[in-house]
Parts: sequence; C-alpha cells; structure tokens
Amino acid sequence: MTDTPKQTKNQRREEAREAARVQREKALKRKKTLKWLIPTIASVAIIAIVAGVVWAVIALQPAPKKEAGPLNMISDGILFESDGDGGVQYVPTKAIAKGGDPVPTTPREGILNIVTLVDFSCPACKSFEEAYASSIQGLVADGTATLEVHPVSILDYRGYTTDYATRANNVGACVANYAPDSFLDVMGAMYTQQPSEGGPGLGNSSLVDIVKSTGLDDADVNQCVLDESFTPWVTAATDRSGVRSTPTIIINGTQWDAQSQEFPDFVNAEIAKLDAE
Amino acid sequence: MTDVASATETEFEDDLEPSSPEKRIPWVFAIWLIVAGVIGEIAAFALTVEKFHALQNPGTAASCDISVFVQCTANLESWQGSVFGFPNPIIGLICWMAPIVVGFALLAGARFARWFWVLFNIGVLGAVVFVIWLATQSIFDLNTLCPYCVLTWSVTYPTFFAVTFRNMAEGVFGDGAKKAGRALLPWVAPISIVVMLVIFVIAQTQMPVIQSFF
Repeated sequence: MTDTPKQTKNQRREEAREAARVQREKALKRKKTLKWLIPTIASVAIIAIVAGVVWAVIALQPAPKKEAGPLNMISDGILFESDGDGGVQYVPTKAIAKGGDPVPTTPREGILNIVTLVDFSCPACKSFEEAYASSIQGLVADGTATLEVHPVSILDYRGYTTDYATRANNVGACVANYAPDSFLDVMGAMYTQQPSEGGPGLGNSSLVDIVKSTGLDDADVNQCVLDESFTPWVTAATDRSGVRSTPTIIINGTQWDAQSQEFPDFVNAEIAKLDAE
Repeated sequence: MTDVASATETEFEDDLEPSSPEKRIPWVFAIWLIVAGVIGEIAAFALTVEKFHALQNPGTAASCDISVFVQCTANLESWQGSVFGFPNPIIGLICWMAPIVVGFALLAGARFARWFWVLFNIGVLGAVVFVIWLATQSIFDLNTLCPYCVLTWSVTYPTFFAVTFRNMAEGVFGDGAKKAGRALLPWVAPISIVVMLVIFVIAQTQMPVIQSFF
C-alpha cells in the first residue's frame, strides 16, 4: 500500500478502521474454528485411544501353548471302532507330545469314517447327541463306521460368562487319557446335564459329579478335571480345528450341511457313495 | 486480546442474528437430525422385521444373533421389548420421523416457535429416558446387548444433547442458559462417545461382550 502524503486524515482513519476490522474478523474466524476443531480432535482422539487399546488387547493375546495332549487323542480326537463282537471300543494311541503336532487318523477303506467336532457345552451338540448318538454308535458297533470325536471349545464367553466350554471339554480329554472306555458314557452325561447357556456354566466339582454319575470314579480323572489339566490342549486343538460352529460332522471327508440335509439322509448318501465304488 | 475478541464476538453475533436470517441455517445440526433419524429408522425397521421373523418362525435365530450375549431375540421376546403392549421398535418407526422432518425443515430455512422447540426437546428427552431404561434392562436383566438396540442408543444420545444444547444456546430456556448452551454445543460428539463407552464398559462388567466376538 502506498502511503502518499496526499492522503487526507479521513482516508487514513478509514484505512485504520478497515485494517482493524479485518484483524477482528480473522480473530473471530480463528476462534470459531477452534470452537469446533477442539471437540472434533477430542472425539477422534478418544476413538483412536479406545481402538488402540482394544487392538492391543487382542494382538497381545498369547498364542495357545503347545502342552502335551491326552493319551488316545493323537489326532486331536479319540477314535472308536467295532470290537468285532457287536460292541464299540476305542483305538489306543500315544499322546501328542509337548510342542508336537497331531497325527491325522488314516481313514479306513470301504466304511464310513465319521468325524465329529463337538463342544460338550453346546446346546446344538446336545440335540445332535440326543437324536443320533445311538444310531451312530450302532453303525460303529456293526462295523459300518468308525467314530472320531474331537472335543473343541467354541463357547467360552460366547455361550457362558466363564470358560465353561474349555473346562467341559477338558473333561473329555481327562477321560480319554485315564479312562477311555468311559468316554462315550461321560460325553452323554455331559450333554444330559448340560447347564443352560447364558450363565456361568458349571464349576469343576460339579463336572466331577457328572463324571461320577456315569459310574466312573477314578481319582486321576477327578483330579484332572479339578486341575483343568488338559485345558491348554483343548484351546490348542480348538485353534487347530478352525471350527466356528458345532457340531461339525464330517464323513469320509465330506462335511454335513445341516441346513440342506437331514443327518440320516447324509449318512445314507455317504453309504451310497461307498456302494458305488 | 481476549477481551477484544470476546467483545467483538458478541457484537458480531448480535448484529448478525437479526439482520441476516438466511445465514442462520444450522447445517450441522439439521444434517445430524436427518442422519440420526435415518439411522434410527433403519434400526427400528430391522428390529420390526426381526420381530415378524420371530413370530413366523418361533425358536429360530435372528440375523442379529451373534452370541448368547450379543443378540436381539432375547430382547424382542422379553416383556421389556413390548413394554407398552406392542413391540418397542414400532415406537421408533413412528418417532424417528420427527427429527428427519425437523432437519429437512431447518435446511429449507424454517423457523419454529419457542413452544415447538420445547415440545421437540421433551420428545428427545423422553427418547433418552426410554433408552436409558432399556439399556439397564438389557444389561442387568436380560444380560444381552442387542446390535440394533445399541445402534438406536448411539444416535439417541447425541440427538438429545444436540437438541438440548441448541435450544439452550438459542434462548428457548431463557437467557441464562444461552452461554452454557453455546459452550456445550460443539461438545455433543465427544460427550456422546463417552456416554456410549461408559455403557459398553458397564455392559462388559456384566457379560463378556468383547470376548464373545472372538
């Protein structure tokens, strides 16, 4: 701006006034911007901090420990076959060693290899057990099928307010390890005495009572249930299975789609496949 | 400096308010009312449809059932879910239209009488009281968080704060509340976020919400 001496007093006063007005408007604008900017930054900061904390909690969760697994569950499941005399017997295996990986079962030729991934705490598994356990065990007994039961725990904190699912499936591991002949009986009892979903589930001493209700009173099993001895294995096996919903039933590599097919139809379809071979 | 700024501000706003009404369209406020109303309608509609679904297919899971703790079937089937004798989402379907209409009216330059703003404020106060009651019932009695309900809560609080602070700032509750309203209005978002976080924390103490997602 050229400040010529020709400027009158009025002109100079006008200019000063104008400059002051611009200054004031600038300050006002800045204040208005800050008035909204600070709360916006605060909102973003709160959300960012909470997201960061949640992410950290998830990311820092320890990977499941590779503790030793139970005996007779080298595949992460316990296998049952016909005893050749109209009964069902388990197939003995070694345990998964500490830090080791499971060894998949070699499928039997020409019969149904039924694999069930079940959560002892899951109501749908209970319904499945009630509906089909005896017919499946019948197929196993007469040599038409083998049954491999994989206990997995997906309902910790989803179905119960505690880690009941993991402790319930630990019962399966304990029995497989110390009293495998009683496994199917105990599994049945776990279902019939299943607590209602949405609550805390059962305590370990109640789980011991369920085991005892089948007539099995084994000090090692009871201690194993109370000590939650195989819960690291349950967690690791659940992780390895990748299962998100139970029961997941697989026969000869084909997974049952419960939405589109009744279970007996699925079994018959698989039998038909075998006959066609 | 600060003295000058505050003095000029009142001067500025005082002479702006009556002389240039076309500049006074509260864009942010109006658009928020519309957005909140639409989100509220979506949530209420989804819950209504889930209610129909539940009536047609009793015992089946709803699409919003994620786990025992994050689900809406329990909420819809509870007596609290039909506290006035009919499903609550019907209230949402009717009432969320109000902020949408008010929001669009404001965008079109509408001005409302003081009694209108008082009534509207009573309406959103009723909504927030209802939502607080539903949240306590859901968390402490039913032990669930229902996704669409949470969505409804998350727009109800900011709407209540925005309308109340706006009315305070505009002198609906007298000149005494103007200053507080003006100061609080920009803080609607952070306050609402904190309120929702507090609700989540309270819920987490009652049930494993976070864990149930993994």
